[in-house]
Amino acid sequence: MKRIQLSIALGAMTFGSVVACGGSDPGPLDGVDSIVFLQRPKRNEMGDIFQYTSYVATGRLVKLTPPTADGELSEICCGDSGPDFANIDISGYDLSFDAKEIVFAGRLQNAQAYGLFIVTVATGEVRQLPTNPNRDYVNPIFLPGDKVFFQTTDLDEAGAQQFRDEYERGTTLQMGTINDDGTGLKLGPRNLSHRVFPTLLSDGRVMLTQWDHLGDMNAGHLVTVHPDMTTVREAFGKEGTGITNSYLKAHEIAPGRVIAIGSSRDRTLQSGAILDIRLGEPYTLDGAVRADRNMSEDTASYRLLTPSVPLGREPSSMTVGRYYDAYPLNAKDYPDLLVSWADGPVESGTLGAADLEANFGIYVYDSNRKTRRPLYDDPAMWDLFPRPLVARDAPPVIAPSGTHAYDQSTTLIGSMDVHRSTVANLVRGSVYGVRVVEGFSVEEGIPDDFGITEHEGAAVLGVAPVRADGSWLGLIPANIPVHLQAIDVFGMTHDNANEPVWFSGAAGESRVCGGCHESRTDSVIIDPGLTEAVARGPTDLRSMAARDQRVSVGFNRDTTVGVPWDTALQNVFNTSCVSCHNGTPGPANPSWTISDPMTGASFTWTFDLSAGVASYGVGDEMFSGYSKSHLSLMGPDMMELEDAGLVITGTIKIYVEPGNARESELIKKLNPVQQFPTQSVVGAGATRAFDTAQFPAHAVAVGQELTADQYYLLVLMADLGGQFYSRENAPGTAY
Amino acid sequence: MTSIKTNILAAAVAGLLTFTTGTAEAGRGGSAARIQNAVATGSVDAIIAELERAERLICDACTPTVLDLIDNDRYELREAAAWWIARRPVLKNQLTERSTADLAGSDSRLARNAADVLGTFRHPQAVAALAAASSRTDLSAEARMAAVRALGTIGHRSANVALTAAMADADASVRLAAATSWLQVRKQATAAPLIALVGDADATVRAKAAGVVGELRDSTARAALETALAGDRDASVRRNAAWALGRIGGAASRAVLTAATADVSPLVRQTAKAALAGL
Repeated sequence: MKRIQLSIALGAMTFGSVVACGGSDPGPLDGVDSIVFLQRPKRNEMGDIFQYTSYVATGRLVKLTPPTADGELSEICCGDSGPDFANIDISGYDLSFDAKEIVFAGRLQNAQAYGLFIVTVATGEVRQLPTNPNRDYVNPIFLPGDKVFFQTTDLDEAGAQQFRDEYERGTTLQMGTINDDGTGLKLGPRNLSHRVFPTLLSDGRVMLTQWDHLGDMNAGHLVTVHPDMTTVREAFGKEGTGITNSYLKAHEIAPGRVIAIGSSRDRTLQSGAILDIRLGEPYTLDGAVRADRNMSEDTASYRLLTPSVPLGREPSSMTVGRYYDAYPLNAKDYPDLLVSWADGPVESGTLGAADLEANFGIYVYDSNRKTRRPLYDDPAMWDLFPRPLVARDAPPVIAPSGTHAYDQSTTLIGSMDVHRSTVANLVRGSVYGVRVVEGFSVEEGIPDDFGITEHEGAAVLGVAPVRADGSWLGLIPANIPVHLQAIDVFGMTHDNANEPVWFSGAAGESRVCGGCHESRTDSVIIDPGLTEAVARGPTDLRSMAARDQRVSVGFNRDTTVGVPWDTALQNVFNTSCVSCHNGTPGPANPSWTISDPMTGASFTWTFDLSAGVASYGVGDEMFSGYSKSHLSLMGPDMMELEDAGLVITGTIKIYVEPGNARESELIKKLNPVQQFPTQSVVGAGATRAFDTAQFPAHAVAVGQELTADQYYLLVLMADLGGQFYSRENAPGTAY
Repeated sequence: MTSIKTNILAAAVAGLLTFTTGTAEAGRGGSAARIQNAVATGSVDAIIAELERAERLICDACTPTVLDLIDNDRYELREAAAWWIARRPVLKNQLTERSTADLAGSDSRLARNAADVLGTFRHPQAVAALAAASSRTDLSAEARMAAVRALGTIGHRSANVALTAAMADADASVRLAAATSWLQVRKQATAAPLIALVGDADATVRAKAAGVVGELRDSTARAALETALAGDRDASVRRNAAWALGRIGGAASRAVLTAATADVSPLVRQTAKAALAGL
C-alpha cells in the first residue's frame, strides 16, 4: 500500500499535473467516510466502447476509508465468498440508494457469461440474480421500486438470434429489468446495435448510450428511456450539438445536466475526455447549476472539462492521459469530480507496441483548476468507477406507460401532424404516408454483408396513410427496430425525411410523436383535440406477422417487403433493359477505368444491367459488385477510391443514391409513375414524378415501359439503401 | 526508473502513431500503413479497429498483411481478417477454395484456420465441409472445435446432424462448442440431443447443456435437470439446472427446487428461489 502511494507521489513530481498527495483537507469529499470502486486486472483490450466480454481473473469491489491517499483499502467482494468466486471478473456496478448493497456484473469463469450479483456491503454476503446463463448480463443499475436495470444479449423471440452488428460483429446488448429478489425479469424493445452504460436520472428516467448505426450514421449518442423501457428519447449527440463520435458513462450532476466521457468509438479503452453536458438551458439554483428547463437536443450544450484530452482515437499525451469515468461530487459551475484516470498514451495500439497497459487510478479532479489529486492507484489493476459510499435519494417511480387499445402484442406508432418537422420541408398535402421499415442484420443468415452501401437489412412493414390533418397511426410488431420514411404519392421519400436512426417499442406501447422530428421545444396543438388518424384507427403494418412471415409474397406495391436484387429487380432489368444495357461500350453503356499509379494495374468497367457476378478493383484487390447490374447502378465507393489514391478515367456515375430515390439518377431518368392512393396507368398518359420535359420517361421513350409495380420496386430499392440481400434471397433460405 | 523508461518508450511510440494514424471517423480512413502499424503493435484491439476502418478500402498492399492474420493464434484476429476478406470477392473466392481444401487436408492448424474463415463467410454451402471436418478424429480437437464453432456461426439448420454427432466427441471442448452452436442455429426448436450432455463427464459441458435445454424450454429434459440439481457436484451445473427447471416450469419440479433453496452454494439458492416463484 505505501509503495503504491509512493509511486503516485513520484508520478506527481515527474509529470507535474498532480497538486496534492493525501493530507488533512479532503476538500469535496468532506463528510464522505469511504469511497467504493472496482478493481480489474490491467489489460489492453476493450478499446471499443461497446465491448463487454473481456475477462481476466480476478476483479474485486473495494472501499477506501477514509477517501484519502493514506486511507485503508478493504475488499467488499468477492475474496471471501467461496470457491465459486475465486476467478470472478467484474465489469461494472451500482450502489443502492441506501448505500447498503451493490449490484454488479460478474463472470465467474472464462467459460461462463456475465451475470448479475448483489452484495451486501456490511457483510460481503453475495447472491446471484437468476439470469439466462447462456447470455451476458452487464451494466446493472438500481431502479426505485426494488428493481435492477441491466443490459443483455438475451432475447425472448423464439427461434431468432440476437442482432449482430455487421460492422463491429459483436452480439448486441439490449436493455432489461429484474426485481432485486430475482423475479420479474423483463426484456425491453431492441435497437439494431448496442446500448451500453445506463445511469439513473433524478426524474426517474434512465440515460444510456445508444449506438446509432444506419447508413452513414455510426456514433454513440445519449438517449433517455423510462424505467419500464418505453419512451426512448434522444438526449445528446445528434443534430450538431455534439463534439465527438461517442458519449458514454453519463452521471447526472444536477437536473438536466450530466457528466459523461466523450471519445472515439474504438481504440481508446472506453476512456476519453470529460464533458459537462447541459440538456436544456442552464441556470443556477441554490448554488447548483442545473439545465432542466426547455430540454431538447436543440437547446443542449456542453463544456469540455479536460480540454487537453483528445476527443478522437489518437494517443493521448504524457500528463494528459484519458479518463475512464467521472462521478460528480458537487454541482458547481466547474464541478469537482471523482475520476478514474490513466496517464500517457491511452490508446490500445500505442500501448500494445510498448507492451504496456493503461494504468487507471483514482483521483479527485478539480475541473476549475484542471488539477488532479491522487487517492489510490494499484499499478497491477485498473481502478475504476469510484463513487462515494453514501446514501442518495431515490428518484420517483415513473408509472408504467399506458398501453394502447389494440392488440397488446403490438406497438402503436404515429404522429399527430407529420408536417411539423425541423429536418425536412414537408409541405402540407405533399406527404401521402409514412413507410415503416424494419431493420435486421447478418444474424438472419446473410453472408456478412448486405451490399456495397452501409445500409443494413430492410423489410417494409407497410405504408400508413397520412390523414388530412397530417396525422397517421400504425400498428407494428413489438420489440423490433424500425425507421420511418415520409413518402409522396410516387412512393419516394421526401428530402431529409428518411429517418437515419432506428427506434422500437414495447408490446402495448404507444409511441406517437408530435410530427416528423418536430421542434422539441414547441407544443403540438391539434384541433379539435382528436387526430383523424386516431378517429379512423391505425393502419395494420404486419403487426401480427412473425419474423419468417415478414417477407415478400410477390413483388407488387402492396406485397413487397424486401427487395432482393437478384430475384426481384433483375427480372425487371432482364425484361426491359439488357437488350441495350449489356456491357457493350457505347452511348448506352459508358465505361470508366480506375488505375493504380504505383503498380500500373487498371480495371475497366462498362455499364451492364445483366445478371451475373461482377467485381471491381485493381490487381488482386477486387471488390464485390454482387452482380453486374448492382455494380453498374450502385457504383464503387468513391471515397474509398480516393483514399486508395487510384486514378479514375472517365466518369463514374452513381445511378442510385442509397436511401434517396428522389435524387437518384436512375429514378429521375425513368421518371416513375404515381403509386398512391392508386397506381397510375403507365405509358404516355401516366402521372409521373418529375417534369417530363426535363426528365423524359426513358423506358417509354425506348419502347420498354415498365409496370407501375416495377417502378415501385426500383424506388423502394433506392430508398432502402440499394442492398443486394434481403430476407428473401438469404443463401440457404434462412427462414 | 523502469517506469520512466517505459513511459518514455510509450511516448515515443505515441508520437510515431500520432503521425501515422491521426484521427478518423468510424468506418473510414483506413490504409495499408495503418493496418501494418497496428499489426506491428501486436494489439488485437488496434488491429481489429484498423481492419474495420479499411472495410471497403481498395488496398492491394493490405492483402498480404491481412492474409497473414488468417494464421494468427488469436481467433479474434482470424475472424476479423476473414471478415475483411469477405468484402473482396476475388480474394474471398480464392480463400473459400483454399479453406475447403485445407479442411479436407491433414494439417490441423490449417483446418482450424479454414473452419474459422468459412464460418466467418457464413455461407451455408460450407456446412457439408465443416460437418465432415468436425467428425474427423485425425484432426486435432482444436480443429474439430473450430469446425463446430463455424457451424454455429453460420447458424443453418442443416448443421444439426453434425452438431449432434459432435456432442459425442471425445474432447470436452468440442462437446462444449457443439452445445453452444446448437443454440445459434436459427429456428432451433428442440434440445433433445443435449439432454445426455447434462450428465457429461465435464462440468463445463454439463453446465452449458443445462443452460441450453432451459433456454429452449425442452420439457423432456426435466428428469436429467432434476438429477443434476439434486446431486451434481458442481455449483454452476446445479445453478443452471435450477434456472432451466424454472424456465421449463411445471409443478413436478417443486420438490427438488425447494430442496435446492438450502443448497450450500448461494448461486444455487437464489436461482432455485426465483424458479419456485415462477412455477
